[in-house]
Amino acid sequence: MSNGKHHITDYKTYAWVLVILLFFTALTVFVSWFDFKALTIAVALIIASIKVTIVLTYFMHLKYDYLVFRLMVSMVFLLIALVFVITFFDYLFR
Amino acid sequence: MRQQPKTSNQKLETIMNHSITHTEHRDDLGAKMGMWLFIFTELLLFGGLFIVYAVYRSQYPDDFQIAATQLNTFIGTLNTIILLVSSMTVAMSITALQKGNKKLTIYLLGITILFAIIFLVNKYFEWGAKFHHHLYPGSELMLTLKRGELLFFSLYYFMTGLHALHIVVGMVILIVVLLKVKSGKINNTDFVLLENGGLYWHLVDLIWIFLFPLLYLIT
Amino acid sequence: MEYSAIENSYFKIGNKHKGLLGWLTSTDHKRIGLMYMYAIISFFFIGGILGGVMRTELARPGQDFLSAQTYNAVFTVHGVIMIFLVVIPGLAAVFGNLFMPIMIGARDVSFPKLNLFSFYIYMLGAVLAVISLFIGKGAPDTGWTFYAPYSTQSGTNVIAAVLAAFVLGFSSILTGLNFIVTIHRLRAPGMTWFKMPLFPWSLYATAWIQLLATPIVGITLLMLVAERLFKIGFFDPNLGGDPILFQHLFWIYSHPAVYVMILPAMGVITEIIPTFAKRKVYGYKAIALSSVAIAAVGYLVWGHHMYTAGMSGTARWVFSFLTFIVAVPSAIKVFNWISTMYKGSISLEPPFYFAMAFIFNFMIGGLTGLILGSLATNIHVHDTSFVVAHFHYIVFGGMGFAFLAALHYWFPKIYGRMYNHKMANWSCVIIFIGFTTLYFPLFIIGLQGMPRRYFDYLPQFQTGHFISTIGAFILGLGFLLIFINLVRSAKKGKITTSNPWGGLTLEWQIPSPPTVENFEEIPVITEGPYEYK
Repeated sequence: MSNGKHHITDYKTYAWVLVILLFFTALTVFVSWFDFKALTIAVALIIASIKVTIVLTYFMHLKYDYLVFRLMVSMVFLLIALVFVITFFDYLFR
Repeated sequence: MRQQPKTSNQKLETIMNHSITHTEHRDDLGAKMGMWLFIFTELLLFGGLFIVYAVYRSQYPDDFQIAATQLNTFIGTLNTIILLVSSMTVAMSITALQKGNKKLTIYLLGITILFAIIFLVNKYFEWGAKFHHHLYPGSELMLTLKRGELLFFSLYYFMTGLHALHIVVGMVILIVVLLKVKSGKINNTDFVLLENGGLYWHLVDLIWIFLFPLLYLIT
Repeated sequence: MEYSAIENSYFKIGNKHKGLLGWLTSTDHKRIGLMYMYAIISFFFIGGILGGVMRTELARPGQDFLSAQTYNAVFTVHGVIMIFLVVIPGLAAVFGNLFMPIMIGARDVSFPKLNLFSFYIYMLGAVLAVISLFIGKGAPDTGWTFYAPYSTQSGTNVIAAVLAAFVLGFSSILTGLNFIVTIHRLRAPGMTWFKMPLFPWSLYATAWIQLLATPIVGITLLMLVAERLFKIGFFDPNLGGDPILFQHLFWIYSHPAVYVMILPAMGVITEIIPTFAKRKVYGYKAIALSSVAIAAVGYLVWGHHMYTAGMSGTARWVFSFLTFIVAVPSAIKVFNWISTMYKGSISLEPPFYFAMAFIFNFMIGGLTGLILGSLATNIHVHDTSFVVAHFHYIVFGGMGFAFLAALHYWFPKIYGRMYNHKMANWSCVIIFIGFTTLYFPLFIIGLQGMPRRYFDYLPQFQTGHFISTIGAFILGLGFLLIFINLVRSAKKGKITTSNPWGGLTLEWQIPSPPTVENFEEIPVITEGPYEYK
């Protein structure tokens, strides 16, 4: 059985991850008080993406799990991004 | 990384008995892959909503900003924190089980479920306040709003509503997992169900991480 | 000796329940596959009869026996049934379930219970679709595409039909999920990715589309329901919504859905041709990877359904460009099939005839697809019966013929009995003639300007419509012939050997019909699937 490959993550690691996530949450609330004009949404999305990456990597164990999961997840996010881009070929150029 | 399928030959006797149960072979990696694939479908489900959001926000940026000021940023932030903490507790519950600490596992899962309930209670008050101001889909006030504002609130209800539904589903999953940990069906040698329940819960968190700034913080 | 194979097969031996209940509660992939097959064939006949009704109405201009409203309902329900109940689950759920686990050397799929569950979800969706015909204010009349804003306003049973599509989508997702995990995890020892037969390869690519595209239409249909219930205004321009956005979201799923239909069909043909040409398949890797390429690029070409809808010019040429790219891997497959036959020792059996008909139809369907995919010509033929002819050439001439080919190819394996070859050959010829007579005239009158979905037309189109209607009846005759031949043979046909066609893939190495566990010993794979000497 290849059910092995179980990495045990420390409680401490998780706690630190939470602290970092909370920091980014505070950051995103903080920057929302400023107006970056067109960049506002970009800033918010960049922070959200960082948070999501952290959750995927540590909480969802992608860092310790099989490569195939990492590949699949990246593929799915790439696909979603492509669909956005292609949809906006319509809306941005109308 | 591929599993060698069982070559053992238990089938002949079972054929004689005329009752076949397919040889249950445990495949944790397969089970986890199934969960990930399911998570992908959920991501795309919300992905469709995010496309709608993006399109309308690009078309009605001002209306969206004005409408978003109606949302309660405090409750939004609070719920974000609640979800992040609960994500940590569910992740820790796996560590606890791996270390053989069943009691702590149950305790951590219980906390996670409790957080889920608090999240829903907050949501209830948040929505309740809007309903009180006659701001809900189908209400007459909604139809008098500007187009962009109408779309914003419609999306707000649809997205947070669908997300809340996922919270409920996640809660049910975690309750089932908790009971199975209690009964020993999930234990420190066989805990893929706990991992999968955790993955689902993190998904709920992932989606919220995007929803939060897009709905609450565009002032 | 061979009859005992039937006695010991999955037909006779099920789970702890006997008889029908033993089937309905079975998690055996073969039984589930067969249940899908019976359900899908039944729905195909319902959809086919609706199609025949439409064709009969169109035989002459003017109103004959259907009112305009009824006609709208009939083409809508024909579309919903044929798309969501027949062609999307068609090959994957039937032959994928029946043979994919065997072909990769597994005893079952990874999640057998989930497999049964998705069958029941399918049936639930089917029931909803049928209910939408009879309750409330009449059958939906929006067309299977449910385009907003009409679908947000039509007084008919749109919600029931939309929910049916949603539920069916869920079933499709679960089947896809199951197949991906199965192919990743349960291949026999030694069967590397590039030693896997090409039908599983095509199912793998298909499963990814099912998994990643279906949720988008799911959420879109839910939004449509919410819009109808609460006047939300996602897609209704009166409330600020954008009907073109509905089309975007709808086609983000529904174009890849075309590949959900055609990819397994290509996979079937790729199995049949080497078996009957007794040659190693030409360009194995090219075929395998082109399935993946079609799935990937096919996801991004949805806009070519919307050239005249009011998209931006930039989006139009981007979509047109991507559409031309997706034609490349499809063409690779056709070239490879033909190269496989070159210098082969071909035995002309019924499955091979169906496969040839597939290639011919698919070429016409594919090349007319390019006419539709290029901007300038599209403007001329958009929403004409040219489009109707094109997609029937792909969906019916392609997927439908591949289904028949698969049915005739694997029939002896499924039932352990052989059908009448002569009758099968004749039915193939009749169906091909009927099909061509039915759909080819639609290309011509489409070019001349006959719009699709109209129940009446100008007298100038009458010749084309009349010929087309005759074709429909020939086609019906052909199906009757197949039906008689196969039903009779399933019960009384000659007992066959385990490998009547001399195939090399794993399903031919086990008894016909297979035992419940498929393999006594899981085989160890040392060479590729098509090593004909």
